[in-house]
Amino acid sequence: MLLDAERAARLQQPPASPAPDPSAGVQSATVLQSTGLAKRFGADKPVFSDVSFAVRKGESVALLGANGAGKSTLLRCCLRLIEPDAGSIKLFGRELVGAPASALRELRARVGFVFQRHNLVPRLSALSNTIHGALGRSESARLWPPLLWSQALAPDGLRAEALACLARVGLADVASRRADRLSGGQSQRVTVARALMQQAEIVFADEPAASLDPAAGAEVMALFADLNRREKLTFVYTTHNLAHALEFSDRVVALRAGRIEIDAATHSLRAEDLKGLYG
Amino acid sequence: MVDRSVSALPPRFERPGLLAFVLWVAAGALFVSALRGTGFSATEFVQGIPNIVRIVGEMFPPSPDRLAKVGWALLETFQMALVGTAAGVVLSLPLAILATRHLTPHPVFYHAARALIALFRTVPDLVWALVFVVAVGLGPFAGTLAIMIDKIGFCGRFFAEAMEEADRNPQEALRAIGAGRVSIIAAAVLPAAMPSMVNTSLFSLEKATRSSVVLGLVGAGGIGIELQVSMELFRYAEASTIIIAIFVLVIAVERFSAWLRRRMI
Repeated sequence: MLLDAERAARLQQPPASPAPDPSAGVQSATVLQSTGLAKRFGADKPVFSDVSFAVRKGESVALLGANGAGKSTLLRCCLRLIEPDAGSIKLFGRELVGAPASALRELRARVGFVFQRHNLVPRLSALSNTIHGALGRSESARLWPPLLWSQALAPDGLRAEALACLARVGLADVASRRADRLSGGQSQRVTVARALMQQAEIVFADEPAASLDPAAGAEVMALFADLNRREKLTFVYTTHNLAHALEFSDRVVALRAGRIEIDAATHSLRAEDLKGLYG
Repeated sequence: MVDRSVSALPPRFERPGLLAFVLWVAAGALFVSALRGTGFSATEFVQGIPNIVRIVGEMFPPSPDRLAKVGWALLETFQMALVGTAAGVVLSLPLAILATRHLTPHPVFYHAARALIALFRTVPDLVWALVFVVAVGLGPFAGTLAIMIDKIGFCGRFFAEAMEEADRNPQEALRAIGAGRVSIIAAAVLPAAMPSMVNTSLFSLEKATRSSVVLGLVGAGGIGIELQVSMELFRYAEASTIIIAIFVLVIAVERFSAWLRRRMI
């Protein structure tokens, strides 16, 4: 009994104080704050309800849960790609729920999104797809959008910047290759390059390794960890891979039956703590 | 052991219900009345065969007398088709975007664009040519405008369908990173719809080349007027030269567009 209580306390212990932000020299800011978030599709039972959690700058957070637990829906709700039914989402301190379209676009432009199936434009090159990261940037508003359609039309500065982003994910040598001729792992790394081009402050990733073979999946997760460590880029990703969650995240937030079951620092967790999520 | 559960073979045809029977009879009656209305007569057709043979006989050998004039008229025909198609393709693009359900800024624009496309598509290009001959006078410009309007309708519809069928996932990816509607159209929708749009544009050029021949019959420029004059003056050898020239032009455009399609798609 005592053991159960101790375990329960351990699983609901988000890091007491935020990790320090070396660049700011002060406590890290909260970049994402979800409070009382709820979502239900039609008359079905709620996907989740009363979900509250926070992500601090520089953190790497793994969002876990069984199939249908609502991880992907939660991630999409946090950007209002799916509208939540209730609750509040604060991104960079600004309320997202009810924000007008222009403010919503402005906030989304600061968040990179890596999809399970990468969602690149297949007929365009890796370089063109990377340049698309600049579409939401404020200085791009001065450019005629078709100029960012393809690398052939983009300004010199953006082309050079996009190549540098591809180099940061180790893909400068395939810049000219069409997206539909890249391997799964390469495609996923191009989406990361697109997020770097976007100058994203936080990256959401929905099962980034699920459609890849184990080696390519581990490679992509290692890239996330590397960018998190070297560039202090904040990551929130959903995954079914417990080994990835334990190896590459600072914190685990786990959903079960529509509620947060675990919210704890990864180093305080053991594999068996997580296995119960899938029982 | 014989399987007793197997019954007799089912009939080849089901007995029609009363409604189906009435509809079949009505369709048959409509067809018979159409035969009478058009004066369709096998006897008259057979009696006309000697005339067809005589005309075809007079067509050969084709006359080279007005070859230069025919050549210029043929060039003008192609120019009408090219300019009319290019203008139609360019102008149909914004209309197609408005007529694409998930890209249109408002349902009012969607319905207005769809209605305009339907109008342009359903009124035949020959009718548009008659309108433009009255509006801008006889000559190739009237024909070019007629082709342009026809192509706005044709391309508008097929471009909109191609954009509606384009993979939504890359569009969602760009929406997720804060791209606006125009950016998403430029960076994700158009590249995905491009192969289909190129195909439609090339098919439009082939179609416009064929129709620009006919537009000459109502004075809207091109080689059609030359063919009409030759037939009315019973210069069948000259007419056959023009028909062969039209055949060569249409085949050349079709071959060229097939080659370009292979290269671009």
